[in-house]
Amino acid sequence: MFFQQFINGLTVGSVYALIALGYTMVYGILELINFAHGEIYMLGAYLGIIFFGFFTLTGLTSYSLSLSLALTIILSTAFCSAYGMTVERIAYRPLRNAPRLSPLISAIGMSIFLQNYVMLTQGATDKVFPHIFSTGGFTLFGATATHLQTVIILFSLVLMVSLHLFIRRTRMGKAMRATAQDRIMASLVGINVDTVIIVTFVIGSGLAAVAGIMVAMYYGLVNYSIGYMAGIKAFTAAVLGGIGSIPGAMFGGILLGLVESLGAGYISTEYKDAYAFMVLIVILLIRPSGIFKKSAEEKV
Amino acid sequence: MLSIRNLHTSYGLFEALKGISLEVNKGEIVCLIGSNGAGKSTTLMTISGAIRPKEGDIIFDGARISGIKPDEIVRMGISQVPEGRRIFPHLTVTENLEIGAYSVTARRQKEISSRIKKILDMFPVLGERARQPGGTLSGGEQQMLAIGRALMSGPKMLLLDEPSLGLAPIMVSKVFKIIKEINREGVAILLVEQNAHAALHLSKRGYVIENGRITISGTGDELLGNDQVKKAYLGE
Repeated sequence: MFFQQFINGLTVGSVYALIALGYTMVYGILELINFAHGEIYMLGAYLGIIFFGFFTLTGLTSYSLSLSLALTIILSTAFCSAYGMTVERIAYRPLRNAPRLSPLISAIGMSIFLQNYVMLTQGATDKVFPHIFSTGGFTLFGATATHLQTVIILFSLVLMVSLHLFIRRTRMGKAMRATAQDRIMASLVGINVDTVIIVTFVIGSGLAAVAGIMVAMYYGLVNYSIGYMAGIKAFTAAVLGGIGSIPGAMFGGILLGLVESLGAGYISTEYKDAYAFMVLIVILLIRPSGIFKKSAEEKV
Repeated sequence: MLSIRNLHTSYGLFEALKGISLEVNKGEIVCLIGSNGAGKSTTLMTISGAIRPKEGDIIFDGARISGIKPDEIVRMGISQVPEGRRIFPHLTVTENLEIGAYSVTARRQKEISSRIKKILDMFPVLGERARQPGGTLSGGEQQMLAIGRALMSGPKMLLLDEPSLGLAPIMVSKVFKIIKEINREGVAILLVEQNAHAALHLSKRGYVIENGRITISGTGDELLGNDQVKKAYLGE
């Protein structure tokens, strides 16, 4: 049972990690908790269902399943990135130099708005993502990793490694790190800080979109309120790893998934959601800056 | 080259600059001296575009740059070494230099490498520390790195904010020597300093700023001989 729960935890944890990255990157640069981020993930799940449904109707799915899945992911990611950019533009940028509480309230407002926007346009009932992966899988130490679980874990891993390389190796990645360390100085060396912030939102929202689609496929059901709990848990994961730290968010997400899954397996399923917060409380008590934070200054 | 006319800058209700006018000509070293809170750093931050002026004009190379964003101002050829150096602490020394060339188009990688080489020749100690995070350097080394970073964009004009602050005396004279060298290569310099004596000796011309207003101006020698300056800033 341990390995089964381990695989399940790794799957959920990868998803938490992808969402947590968006929280942590935005915090690293703007010192803002983007409370609307969970809603971007929810939008990703809905957009996935909408695009996949569209490809099913037009017959593309029966022609090539992998092509329609790839297109679904690309289009949903693009739409979510556009949503993320828009949220930044209308809700955060005008408040960039305001006291810190103002953008926070604006973020909560965006979250409520997006939830209701989806509820009104898509309805309050659950939407279904069709089962497209066969039920078989690999057997490891007596536990089964379904094809879908394998895809989720591997794809998340690829995205996280790519993000890491992007931040470490590219010119824009360097500009993002510089902006996180000293925003004014970054502008004084010629970095367009607005562009860096937009790129941060685009990447964070794109990762959340992928997480949304994968969860829609994993659980099969989606509704307008899923962003709330996922957002809180991913935020917990980001704090767990040390908010602002990218490796921290990855590690925190996976740790949270494992704790939840093992707790559900060995202790009780009913308290599944509580384990995450128990871990958070423990971390906040013994290491308030998070597991991965070297100092209070280290970000992105 | 740089011409500032009637510049007003405020932080909320507090008016930090109350109508400043000054000139820096091609190839000159000009210093701005004054006590804490007189508006020296505000002047440099306004020139760099990090603070928007309320009123007045800043003209650089014939173009009006007041109100333009900082990254565009760097691209036009003004680079700043800010107060407290503001090294990116978690970027390595090399990365700090590379980021200084952010405004240089990515395709000119060769140009960037040759500039890094030139700066490492100028400051050999930075070469020894190339892979170390900037935050682990000593104050003097950070000051060199900050100057090197500012030179990476290939500026026509350098704004230096208290480069001698917090440095050991031997380091101070080193830094002033470097400033002179940079200027000899044709870079105009606007130097903000509390170390008025050293700054005035180095500069062709100087301005004294008090409570957001320019009160005295003249050549370096004139200011060194000025009774008021002597009393207030040279401690004589």
